[in-house]
Amino acid sequence: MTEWPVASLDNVRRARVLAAALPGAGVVEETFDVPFDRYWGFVSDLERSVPAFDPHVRSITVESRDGDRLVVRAVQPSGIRARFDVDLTDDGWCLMVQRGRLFTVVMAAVPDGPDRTRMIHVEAVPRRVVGRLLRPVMQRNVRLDVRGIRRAL
Amino acid sequence: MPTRGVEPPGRFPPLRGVQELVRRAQRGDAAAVDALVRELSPYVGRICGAIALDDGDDAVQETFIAVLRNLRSLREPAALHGWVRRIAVREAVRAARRRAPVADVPDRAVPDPDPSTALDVRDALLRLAPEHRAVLVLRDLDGFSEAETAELLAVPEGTVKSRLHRARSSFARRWAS
Repeated sequence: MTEWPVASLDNVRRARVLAAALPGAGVVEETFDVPFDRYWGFVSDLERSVPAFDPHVRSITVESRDGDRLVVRAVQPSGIRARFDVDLTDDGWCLMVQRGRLFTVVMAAVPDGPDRTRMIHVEAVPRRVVGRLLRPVMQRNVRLDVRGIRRAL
Repeated sequence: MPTRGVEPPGRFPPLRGVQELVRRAQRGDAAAVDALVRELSPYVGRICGAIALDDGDDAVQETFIAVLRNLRSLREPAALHGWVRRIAVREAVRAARRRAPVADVPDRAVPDPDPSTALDVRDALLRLAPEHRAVLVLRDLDGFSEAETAELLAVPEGTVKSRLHRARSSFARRWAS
C-alpha cells in the first residue's frame, strides 16, 4: 500500500521562510563542494567556527548547554559582549537569537549529493523599521561570513 | 538524498500551545516563528504533498512565506488552522498549475473507493487536475463535508460534487486497471 504523498520543509527552505519573516534580513545561499558532514561539523562548532569566519566576532563561549540548546557569549573585537540563545536541535540547523531579540542569525544546510552541501546564511535585526534600514549592512555582513566559511573550509 | 529538516507526516498540533506561539511570533520573536513553522509543517506538508505532488516542497515554502508575512493581520490565533489550511490549498494548487496541465479523466459512475487502500495514490493523483486533487484531499484526507470544502475553495457546492466524482472515478480506474 502506498501512502498519500507528503511534502516537507528542508532546512534551507526553513531558513528562507524565516528570512522572509525577518524585516531587512541579509541572505546568502550557495553550494559548497564539501560533504555535508564536514561542512556542518565545522559550522556547528560555534566556538571554533564563528571567530574563524566572522570578522565581527573575536570569540564565542558556550556558557550553558541543555542538550542541543545553548547559551553562548559572543565578544566583538571592540570588546562589546552579547548573549545568544542557540537552537542546534536539528542536524543542519542553527538559530541564534540575541537576548532582547536585537539580532538573529540562521545558519542552515542540507546535503546536495554525497560531496556537496547547499547552505544558507541569514542575519537580521528583527525590527520593522530599523531592520529594513540595516538591510544593506546585514547583506554585506552575510557575504563576508560566507566568504569566511569558504576560506576556513 | 535524505531530507534534513522538519519531517512529515503528522497531525494538527494542540491548539493552545500554537496560539501562544502565534502571539509571540506576532511580536517578532524569531524563535517562536521557527517553532510555529515546525509545529505546522507536518499538516501543511500533507496538504501540499497531495495536491502539488512533485512541487509540494515549493508549495510548503510558499505557504509559510505567505502565512508569516501576513501573521500580524491574524487577529484571533484560534483561527490559525483554518487560515493556514486555506493558504496551503491555494499555494499547492498554484504550484501544481505551474506544471504542464494534466488530461482530465472522463466521468464514469463508480463506487467511492477508500483512498487509504490505494495501490498507488500518487500515480492516481497525478492524473487529476490540481483543483480536483484539492477537493479529494479536503474530502477524503481531511474529512471535510462538501459544503465545508466548497467554502474553503470558494467554489459552489455543485462544483465540489462534480470534481469529487471525477477524482474518485480516476482513483477507481486505477484500481480496475
